[in-house]
Amino acid sequence: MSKKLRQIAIYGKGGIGKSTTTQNLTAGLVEQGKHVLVVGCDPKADSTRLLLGGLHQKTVLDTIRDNKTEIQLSDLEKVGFKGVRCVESGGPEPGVGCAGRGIITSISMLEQLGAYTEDLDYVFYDVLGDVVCGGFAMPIREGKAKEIYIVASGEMMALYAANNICKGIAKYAQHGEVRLGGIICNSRNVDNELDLLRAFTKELNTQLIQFVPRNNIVQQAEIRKKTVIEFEPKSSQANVYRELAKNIDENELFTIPTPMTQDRLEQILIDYGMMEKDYQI
Amino acid sequence: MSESTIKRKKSNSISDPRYACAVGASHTVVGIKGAVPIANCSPGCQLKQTAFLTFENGFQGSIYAGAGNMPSANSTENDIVFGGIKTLDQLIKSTLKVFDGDLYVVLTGCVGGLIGDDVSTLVRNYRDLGYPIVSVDTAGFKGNNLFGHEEVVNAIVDQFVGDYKGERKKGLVNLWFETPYYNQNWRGDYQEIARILRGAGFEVNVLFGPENNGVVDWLRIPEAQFNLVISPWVGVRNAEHLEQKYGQPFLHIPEIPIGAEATAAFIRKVVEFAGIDKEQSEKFIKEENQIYYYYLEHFSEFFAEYWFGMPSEFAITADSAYTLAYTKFLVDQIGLIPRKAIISDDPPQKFRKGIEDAFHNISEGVDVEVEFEEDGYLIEKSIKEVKFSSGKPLILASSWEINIANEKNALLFEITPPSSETLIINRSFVGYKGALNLLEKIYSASVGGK
Amino acid sequence: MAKTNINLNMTSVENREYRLGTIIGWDGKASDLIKESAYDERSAKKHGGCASKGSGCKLCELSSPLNQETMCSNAIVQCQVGNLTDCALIDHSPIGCSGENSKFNLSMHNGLRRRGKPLQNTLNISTNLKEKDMVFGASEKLRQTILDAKERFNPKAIFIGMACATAIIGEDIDSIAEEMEPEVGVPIIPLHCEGFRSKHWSTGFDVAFHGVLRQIVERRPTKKQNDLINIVALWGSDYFSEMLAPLGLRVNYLLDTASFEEIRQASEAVATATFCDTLGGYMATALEESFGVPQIDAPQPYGIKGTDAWLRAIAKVVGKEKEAEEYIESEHKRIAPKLAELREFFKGKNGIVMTGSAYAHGLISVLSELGIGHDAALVFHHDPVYDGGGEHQDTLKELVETYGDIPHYTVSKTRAFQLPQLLKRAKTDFLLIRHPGLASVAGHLGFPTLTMGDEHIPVGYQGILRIGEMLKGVISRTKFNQVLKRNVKLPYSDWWLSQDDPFYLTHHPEALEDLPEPRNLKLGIGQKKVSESA
Repeated sequence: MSKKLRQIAIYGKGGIGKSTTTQNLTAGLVEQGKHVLVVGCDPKADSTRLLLGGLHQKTVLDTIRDNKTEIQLSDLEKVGFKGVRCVESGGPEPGVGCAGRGIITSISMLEQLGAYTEDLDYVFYDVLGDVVCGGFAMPIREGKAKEIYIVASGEMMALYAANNICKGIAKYAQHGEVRLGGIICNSRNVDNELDLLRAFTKELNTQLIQFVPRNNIVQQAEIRKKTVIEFEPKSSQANVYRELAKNIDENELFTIPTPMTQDRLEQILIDYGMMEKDYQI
Repeated sequence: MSESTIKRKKSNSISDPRYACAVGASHTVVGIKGAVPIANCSPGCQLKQTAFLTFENGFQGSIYAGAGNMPSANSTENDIVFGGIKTLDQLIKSTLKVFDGDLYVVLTGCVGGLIGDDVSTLVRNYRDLGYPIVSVDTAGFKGNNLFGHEEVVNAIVDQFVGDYKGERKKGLVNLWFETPYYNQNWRGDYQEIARILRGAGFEVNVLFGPENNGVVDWLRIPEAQFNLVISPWVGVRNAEHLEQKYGQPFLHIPEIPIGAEATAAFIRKVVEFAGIDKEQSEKFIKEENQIYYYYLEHFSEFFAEYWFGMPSEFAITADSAYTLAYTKFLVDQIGLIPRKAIISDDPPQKFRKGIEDAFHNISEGVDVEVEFEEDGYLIEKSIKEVKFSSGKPLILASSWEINIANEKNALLFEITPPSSETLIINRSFVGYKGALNLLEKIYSASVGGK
Repeated sequence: MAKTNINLNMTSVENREYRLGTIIGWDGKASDLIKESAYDERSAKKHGGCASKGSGCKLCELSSPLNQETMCSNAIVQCQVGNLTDCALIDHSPIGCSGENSKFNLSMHNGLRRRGKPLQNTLNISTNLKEKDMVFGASEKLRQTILDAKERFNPKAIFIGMACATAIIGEDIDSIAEEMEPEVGVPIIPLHCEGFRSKHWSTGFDVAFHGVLRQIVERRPTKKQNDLINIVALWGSDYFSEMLAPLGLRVNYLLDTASFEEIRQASEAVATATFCDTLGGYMATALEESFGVPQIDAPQPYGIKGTDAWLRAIAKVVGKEKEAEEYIESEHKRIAPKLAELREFFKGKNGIVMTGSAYAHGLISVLSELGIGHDAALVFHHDPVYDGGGEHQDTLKELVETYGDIPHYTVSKTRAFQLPQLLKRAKTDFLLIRHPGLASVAGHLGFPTLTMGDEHIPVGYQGILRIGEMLKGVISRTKFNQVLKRNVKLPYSDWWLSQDDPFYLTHHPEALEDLPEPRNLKLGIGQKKVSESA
């Protein structure tokens, strides 16, 4: 096998724009001619909506719900924007069952079905929220994603979640090859955001791999079920995502993060003027 | 993690297990006539518990809705990811339709416990419609089958027996005794203890086994004058619960009586506690003594004159109840020398001191240092290390010890699960009759029989 | 290169239902199931051919709202790799998952005796997990138990069996196995055999085989043992040696009671065969695909025709056709008088087999040879194809073509409550059962059972005679079962006992909307019923 498959997991606090970022980034990669598989690991199954131009209708776990036998990859995989391959794990309704187990089940099934074909350059896992239980760590286990990017913003809770995720990565990195590739800032137009993120990533022993400014075009594209790159290919925001794709493609800085204590995190926030504001969670 | 840092800790590991898990308390339900367990767990869970508690335990077999007849959710990947309530609801409905039960007990295992299915609400809905059904959380990671047994008893008391405002009946006693199926002679033992209590003038409410009349006996629990717990620890939690719920007092006797002397002392203790007339109990003791010693005198001739391969020393490992009872009888009544006693049922910490004391005072001039160990590997190692000094020692243990007994040229007498070289239908080694059966069994082996 | 059906690069196995289309509920004529199974089409797919996808490959499965105590993949793994003489199995689970280990220890003892090996206990060890491990993870305990296993047993390999609880909390046994292997110095083999994993326990066999294929069987054998044949088996008596000795073959039994070395050398053998295609298909196919050891594509060795064909297929591989023909001829002659005698005895008798799928097909062949009628059969699962997908491995078709159709062929996974209906609609004098939980229920209905504790008894020519002799004793026990029937009640309601369709609840889901009136002695509703006979 001449080229090496890179498996990447994207984590981040819920609502931070993980899915949007992942899909735009993927769009940037496929534009460059890369072969990419996106695995949505959120029970809501909306991680591939922009790439497919609509919700993926047949999730991996649906097949289990329906007690299907002899499942084939073609039942689960859909092809979207410029040939990007998309699967959604799916999962239970809120409040019942076990979403974590759902991720384990669906990733195992994808492996069994041979979804990770040799022509792929990238597999992206878009993972729900925090690493809360064993299931949510599935994408970064041995033999799966070795690179992780965390989507964050200058908001306190986003940084708090990112720091927590780093604790999980550091734990897995002790025994395995998983490393942090960087933090993607999905800007919320918080004051001093860029400086804060730079300080934060430095403290975590990683890099700020891309600063994605806030831009209404993202929302406009989203309403039309498209990535920005597809919706407005010539926009500056599309170029930002292309840059992100390039940065990740060329990234060589992979580290074991050094998560900080609660006190230290708060100190950084104070240093950059976050804590003085009447901040509402 | 380096090897040395790990090894210093007391290990969590268990080889050659000697108990089942909480969901095995389905067998407590099977012990009640007409009751139907509904296993809300994975496939395999109940078969494993059945294998351990009924098959590999004297091949006791099962009854009614036990073993292969037991309804079970057999949870699938689907139930775990999406929740198992719908599957359980279908299972309950079909069980109510297909089975003929007086009481249904839903036991939830690891799977339901981990994904957090709201089983109690589902079951309460059926109870509100009038169905006699209770639910109990018996996830295997919460404890062993003895823990599960106590959970099931309390659940039935709370969700089925319910509140009681009436009088209590003097002389009526609830019998809380061995754990159904787990204590391999439980059926015979319940009969012998019930016979003794009746002989002493009590009316006995037998909650499990051949003399149980089904759930009607459970409904009578609050009417009893008191609860009698005969066990080092199992059932005390239930008696405390009943005391709190119904203001019903309880008497806790850790030792199951074996032999005429111990049984007489036992009877007198219970009669004293209940404050019933002593005339009948004394008359009963006298009659039983006459019969017992009539047999024992015959036996004494063999005991005095036979000289091949008679054991004089023994090692024992079983649950708290049998270890204490058998050790006491063999030491105090027969004069065998205890070389090792290991309790394998993991008694809660608060009972351990009391159990140790009972062994210290087991017989005049004899002090037994009892050990608590659940890990079969360490139990076997400990027995292996015993240097028996004479003749053919006796090992009272499980079938895990078959090879050790062979190595030590010892008589192996299976008294605890797993027991794969013993068939048990109706036998008892407690009370008056049981003591004689026990001697018969041990010394038949001595003379080369089985 | 031929298509590979079994991927040994992965630590986990694809469940049978996904891989083979296994079902656990079906009811009808065996000949119809053969048609619906479309073996040829599935077989073509296995061999890389192009087959249409769609209704031709879809089996109609009957589900049931009521299920009962049954087996799981985790137990199967315990009874496979837990029964090796020099390898340890860790149950990474709460202690209840090890409940059956004592029974497998008994099986081990029996197996060792049958194979003439020294008596020993199983090398079992549990991580014994508690509630706090469920919340905080159990990996440290697993590491400790791996070290304990090494210290206690000094094993040649250590297996880690996943359980429901550890699978749900997402224990990463693959990584821990890999991480600990250098320190411990022997293969540490993770097995993804959690009990809820597959709808049928036989996936557990595949998981066990998968583990040994990945990490024990020699990848690059330096020699070939041309007189060695792998027989994928359980604990059965060594009847295969006497059948294969005339072909100059020694038997390498896999897996129960085997040693690390016996498993390692599987790739040096000249071929792989089995007593049951359900059990052996995965191992045999993987050995063929990835190790170059051919599997025997033949009917199973049951009954005269099956045994003839099985021996001939093996003889062809080892070039002993002449010896085989001589042996076959002499065996036919040898058993003929006794067989005629048994056929006379069983004239007019009927029997029902209730076991796993392919094994049932073998047993029914033997009953047919004895002249015993078989209007009905119950199998616990149906695999429309096996991993090998060989031309001569369609066991159900082979059975029906040789011995006739089975009008009541039922697929149902150990649902004892269906026995009253199953036994009502077909004539029978006895039952042949292998798995726990059903024999006693059949016994309550008045029928004696032969439990196939030694699964090799029916194998080969002599197997027909062995079964015949045993059945004489079994039929005689009908007296006991009639006593039971007269005096002991099953736990089922009169309504249920009055039904004729074992799948009534499936065919009439509305029945569950019409529940019986509550009978509650506490509330004084309904009559005391069950207890009053006591």
